[in-house]
Amino acid sequence: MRKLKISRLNAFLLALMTVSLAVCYFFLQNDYIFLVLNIIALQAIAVTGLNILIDATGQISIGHAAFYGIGAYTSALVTVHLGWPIWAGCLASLCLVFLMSIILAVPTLRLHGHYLVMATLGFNIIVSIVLNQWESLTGGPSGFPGIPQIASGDRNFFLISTSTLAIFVTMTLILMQSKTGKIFKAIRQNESAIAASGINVEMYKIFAFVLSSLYAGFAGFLYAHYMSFISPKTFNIFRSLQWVTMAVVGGMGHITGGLIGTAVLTALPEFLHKFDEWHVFFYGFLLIICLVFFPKGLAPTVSSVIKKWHCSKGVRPPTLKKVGGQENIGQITLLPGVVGHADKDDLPLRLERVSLNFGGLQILSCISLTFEPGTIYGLIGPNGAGKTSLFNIITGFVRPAEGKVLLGGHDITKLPPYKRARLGIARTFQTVQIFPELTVFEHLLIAAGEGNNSFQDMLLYFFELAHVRNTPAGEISFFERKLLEIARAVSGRPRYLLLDEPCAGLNEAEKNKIISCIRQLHRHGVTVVLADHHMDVVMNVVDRTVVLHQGRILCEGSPHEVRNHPDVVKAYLGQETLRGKDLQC
Amino acid sequence: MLKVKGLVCSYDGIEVLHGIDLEVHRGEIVGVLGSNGAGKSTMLRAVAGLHKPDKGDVIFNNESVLNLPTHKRVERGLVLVPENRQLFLSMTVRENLELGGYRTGHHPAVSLMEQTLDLFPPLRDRLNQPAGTLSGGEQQMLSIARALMTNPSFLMLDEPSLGLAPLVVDEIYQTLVELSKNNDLTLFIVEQDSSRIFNIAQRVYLFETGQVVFHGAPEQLIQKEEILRKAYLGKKKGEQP
Amino acid sequence: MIAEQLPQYFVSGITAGSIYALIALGFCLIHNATRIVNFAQGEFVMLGALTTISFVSDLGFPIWLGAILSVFIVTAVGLLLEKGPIRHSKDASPLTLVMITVGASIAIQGSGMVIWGKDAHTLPPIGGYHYIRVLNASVIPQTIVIVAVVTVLLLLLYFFFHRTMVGKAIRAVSENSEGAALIGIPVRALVTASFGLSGAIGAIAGILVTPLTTMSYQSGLMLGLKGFAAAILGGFGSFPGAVFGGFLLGLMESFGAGFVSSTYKDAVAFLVLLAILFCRPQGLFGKVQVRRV
Repeated sequence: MRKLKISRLNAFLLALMTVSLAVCYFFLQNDYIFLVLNIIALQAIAVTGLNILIDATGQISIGHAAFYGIGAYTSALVTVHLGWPIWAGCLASLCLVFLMSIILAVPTLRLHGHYLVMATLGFNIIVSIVLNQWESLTGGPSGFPGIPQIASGDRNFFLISTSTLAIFVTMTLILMQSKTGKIFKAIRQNESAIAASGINVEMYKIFAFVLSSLYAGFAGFLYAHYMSFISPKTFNIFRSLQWVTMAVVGGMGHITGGLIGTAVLTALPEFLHKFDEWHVFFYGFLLIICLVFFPKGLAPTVSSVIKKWHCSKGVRPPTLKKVGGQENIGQITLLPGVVGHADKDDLPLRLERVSLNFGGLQILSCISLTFEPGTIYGLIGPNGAGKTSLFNIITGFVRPAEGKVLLGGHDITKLPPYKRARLGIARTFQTVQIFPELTVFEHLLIAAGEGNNSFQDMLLYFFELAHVRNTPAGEISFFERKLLEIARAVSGRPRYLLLDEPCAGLNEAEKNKIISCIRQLHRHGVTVVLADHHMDVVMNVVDRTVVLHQGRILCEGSPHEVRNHPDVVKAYLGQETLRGKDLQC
Repeated sequence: MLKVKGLVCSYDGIEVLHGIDLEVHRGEIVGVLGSNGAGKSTMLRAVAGLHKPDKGDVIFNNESVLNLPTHKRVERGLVLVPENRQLFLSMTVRENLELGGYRTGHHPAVSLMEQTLDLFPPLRDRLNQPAGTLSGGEQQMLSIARALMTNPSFLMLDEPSLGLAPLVVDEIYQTLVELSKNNDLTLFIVEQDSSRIFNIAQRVYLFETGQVVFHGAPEQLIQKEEILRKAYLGKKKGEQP
Repeated sequence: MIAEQLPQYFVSGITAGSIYALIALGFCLIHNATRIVNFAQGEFVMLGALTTISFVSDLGFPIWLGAILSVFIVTAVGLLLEKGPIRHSKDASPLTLVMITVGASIAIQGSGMVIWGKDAHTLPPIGGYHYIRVLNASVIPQTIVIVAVVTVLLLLLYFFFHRTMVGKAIRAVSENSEGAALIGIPVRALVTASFGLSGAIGAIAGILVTPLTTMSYQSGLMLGLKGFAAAILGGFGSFPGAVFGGFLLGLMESFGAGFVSSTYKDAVAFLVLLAILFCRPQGLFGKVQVRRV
């Protein structure tokens, strides 16, 4: 098993916490403090789960107390009314929480925007109302007493709560550093790019949500069997908002930060007991101050302050300027046939009568094209001709209004981007899409299907990125980012590689490097489709050209044929309009 | 009229403009050419106030506008017609035009609206249609017409020919040149279709990877190294393949 | 017997619905201008009500004066929210801004608790307590006042957004803020104005509804969330959708409480919310979002 990496700051904080807790246990006599600490521990479990959700999806739930409540009440009900043992109650709780969270997550996580927030909010309120009104089941507002206890006394439970917390936190840290955790981070940073790499984003988001709900549900189960008495007030929307405040103050997505946030915000009202009236106001005010001035939260702010302090003492380059193009074209070549599948028996990619419009504008009309494996294609046309839209349709980011996309005769028009990526259709984007916080190597790691480190390292050498293998992508130069994006697309061993203006923004030497990479990839079995608006740049490298003009195919052929074609010459010299009267195919 | 000094801009930590200096004088038509990714749009957006530069200054009529928000620059007559038009698609053509007159008064002068519609007759037929139902060419016309309603003295255009049929572009450019002559309107145009610029501009700037690599009269640029031009401009009018 | 109840449910549904329509409109306004959901919207309602109560009950002002002053105060609170935390937030991502409004909501509730205590307060209804017959239903005059005022207000707002330059400019900003800035529209100022207007509308809703339901420091949250559900139902971003959603939600709640169960009346709004999010997230009148790469 891989070693768990913990930053120095985190390690220090965790050690500090463990020591303080141990001191508390052995030296404190006041039982009330243990009550507070136990509550802190349980809330911290839930907040840790919340941080997983934030880290994975960039979205937040303001209804997680509902799962706390479901966990608590389910176990209470089965242990008290049905006489089940406590461990069975735990299982029942987790099952119900699992079910409810799936029902909530599946429809809402595939939507963009704040829908998850709204759905969790609505869910929490409904659960609160049910807990309050269904008196025969839950005892209503007066509460549910008599729940069997898991440990007698606050001090004994303290051992359970802290060890459970420790287990959950360790599990979470391991998860966050695994490949799944990197994929979570990638999803949060750039959803389109990760979908284009063949990752089923929806599945990961649902997984993150369900996991975070289970954390809250388990905490609820423990709570019920600790307090022995539960009432709906504990599981209402204010509790959810409190947890969110703890996550935000500690640092959204930051596990250790969440622990600190929980501890501080649970303990604080205890100290402010005199100002009981003001504690609600204080919460809101604190939340605002944190968000306005420290949007990243306390823990990341502190750690970046420490980092800056370290750097001011050492040498550190400022924002990277554009580095000059590499002089030596890569001598290292890959083993033959190891990249793609493009022999002539492989599947052709075909577009049949594809049309696309948007807001009254006809973007593509009646496009029928076939891409044969083993060729380099150039898709040419001025800006606005529809090249990117065509790529979007081929890769699944946009659905055509009419027409089909076929791979080897199979209709893939309805498949989402990640499935097409897995079928071997990879792409890059017109503006470079990377994950700024992930290292160069991690980009290739998450895009590749099967784990095969040696292939990814070979790619790094091929694209001359080995020297920045462990550098976060946000810190490498523009040219290196362009290479990284192509490398990422290739790491899935695609059949077809669609490059959208790969040379934009590069100087002469850099352009030549890209073109040489393309040639080599082609030799190693990748069918390349290159989109650009300048004929002359790509004419030297492609075998076949397709000219797009105002959403239609103007002509197709070899570069020489196309360059001399009368329609093309006219279009580029602007002597005649080619807007045809017929829009039928 | 417009002076840009030492403009440095970045996106996502990457510097895309490395110190741009340029000037446009009153009454001129100046073109900006260069391939995608060279930074031309970024420069226009920075001048319009949509993008905050890291360094440098933008001086308009001897006043630094660097710290002014976009709408205040419009008040001073510095107006941009952006690349993707940014129309209010669900609002009617008339409403889009009226809003162009927002800053000049609470109800736009009828005469200004009439003048603008005279310049772009197709819009007159569609006054009450939502802007989203117009064709590409008509939307571009509306975008320019709306900008004209702000009564600019300095009009910048970002790739006005984008995605449009050549005949339509002809019409638009004709109108622009007329405006330049009759209304003392200074034009600053970013284009990918270089032939258009060569026909109407007194001076051109050539951008390459975030820097100005040439500026001067169009004829001078044409005579310069054929390789440089071919590499970044594609074909020019009349050139044999 | 059921037939006798129908008019009653209908009238009470329309009454509640008109309040929800106002609150939904407030959400819509801010969302269109800034793309964020203002979770403090419900608190505007609460503040409007409670400040009016203070003016009327504690200071003895006539209700019309108390109402006008309250509307001014809550408008100021709305303006302050935008000019303060929202504008100065270092991180302007939608999630952060939404969380700021959540914080504002909590803070305002907290202030409410300190100033007015935990009890519920109320205003005397306009026109007294004797019932009158309207459409075969028995209502107190306040009900008619509510529906009348809301109708007039909606008409005024329609006129504002479609016939005045400022109103059209706000619509333009909500449609395309960059395009608006490029033609000289002061986007920032109009965004602030949207917050202020939203505050005013919320306050009016609060003042109107208090005689029927009483108001405490916590009531704003529930009302706000129901108004929010109504906005989603109608189609988030569409003004007519918000209004329609409000009335529809009011009717659904009323008939649901009448025919199914009144204990779970409050849950109706949120079941509707979840149902809409699951089945038709763009609401009844919203447009489906197309993702462009």
